[in-house]
Amino acid sequence: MLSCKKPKTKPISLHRLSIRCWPSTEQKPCWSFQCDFIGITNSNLTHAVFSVNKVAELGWGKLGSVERFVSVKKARCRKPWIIAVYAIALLIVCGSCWIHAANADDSPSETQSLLGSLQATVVDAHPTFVDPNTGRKLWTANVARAHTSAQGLMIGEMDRVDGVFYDNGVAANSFKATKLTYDYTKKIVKGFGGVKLVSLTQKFTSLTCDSIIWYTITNKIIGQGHVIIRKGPATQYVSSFEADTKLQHFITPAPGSTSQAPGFVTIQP
Amino acid sequence: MIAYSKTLSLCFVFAVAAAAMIGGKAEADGPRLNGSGPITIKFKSSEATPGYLIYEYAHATMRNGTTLDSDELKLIPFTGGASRSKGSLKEIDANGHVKATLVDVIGTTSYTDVATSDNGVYDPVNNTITLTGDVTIVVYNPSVDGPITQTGTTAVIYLAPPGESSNPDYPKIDMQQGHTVVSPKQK
Repeated sequence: MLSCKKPKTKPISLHRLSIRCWPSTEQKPCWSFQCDFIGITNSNLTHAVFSVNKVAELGWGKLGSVERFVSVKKARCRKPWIIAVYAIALLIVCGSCWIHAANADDSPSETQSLLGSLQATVVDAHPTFVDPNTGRKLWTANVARAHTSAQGLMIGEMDRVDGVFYDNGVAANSFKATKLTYDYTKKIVKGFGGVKLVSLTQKFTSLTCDSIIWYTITNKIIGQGHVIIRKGPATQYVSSFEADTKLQHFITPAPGSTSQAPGFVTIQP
Repeated sequence: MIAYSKTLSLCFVFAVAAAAMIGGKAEADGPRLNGSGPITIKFKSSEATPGYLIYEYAHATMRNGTTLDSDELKLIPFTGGASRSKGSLKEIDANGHVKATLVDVIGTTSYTDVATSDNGVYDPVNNTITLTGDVTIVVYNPSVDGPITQTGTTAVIYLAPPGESSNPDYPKIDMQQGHTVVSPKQK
């Protein structure tokens, strides 16, 4: 079962477990995963998936526990009793780290070394990303599958994702994309493939395009490719656009865009 | 005040033209929605705000071949009123080098009338284009040689309502202020 199949009979319950990520220079977490299944891999491990219930937030002492847990997983797991052993081991590790987290002075530098070597795959997840400077929500998502990158947990990608972008802690627009990547070192989010945004603050405002880049610091969204913007009575077809996160203001084509092709709009009075 | 109608020679039968003008105003005063149907605008660049959308170097095409060119077209949607009208088009403001072209079918011949001005407003409710500023209208009529040119400061173009595209009374142009008429010779 360590070959990463979901346990069918007695799912392993990992209460009070979550993964949270801190930027190297910030004290507040930039994101946390709350999900049904967490799979963790690194360069010398096979993939593993565990059922997780009632995920609660912990400090990054848990990341240390995950790392140690992963080292235990070097053994192959093919039978249910082995899963039980792993579950017990994991709970012990988590429990010790819970205590550790409760007593420890959360130190980013201590955890950062673990982040660098850890890759995680998360299935059916509902991650919440927050602005480490303000503690406000940046975006939330429902994702079929997410992966952190080899660079650690600061960079990752998601498949078949939808969710909400926030502006100053307020839900600004809903989004949907075939693939989405995030980079917290640059604080940008990129969406690819059938991207759709619907403003939650502006009536009659939505758009679709091939790809977007959301600059979370400057609250700016730039979209490219087969852009269709629907705003009020107008349906606008352009090659690119620049907008704010709430989709209040649009400029087409996007300034500096390589494609300056003229657009057209149809209006239904 | 002079009114143009394709059924009349515009400049040399003033009384008849005035009668046509009266008919035109009566048509326009009605409460019914005379929207021009879908409008397509080609543009070089655009900007949208919560209150309006601006299209620069725009070329708008309406039903029956009517076009409206301008340095800037500003679409203003309804923001209040009945829920069914919210978000729909309230008006289009045209600013800078405004040029309206109207397809005018007389008999079996199609003519293109051209109106230029500094500014214009398209009203989708009444299906009219109101031109202001330095207005020049050039129309053609089979009864005279060459185009008929009139200048003024205000003109209203009445476009054909839905279902009346074959009505020979449309498009109508009323020029109401400070006009100068250049009358070509009658054929």
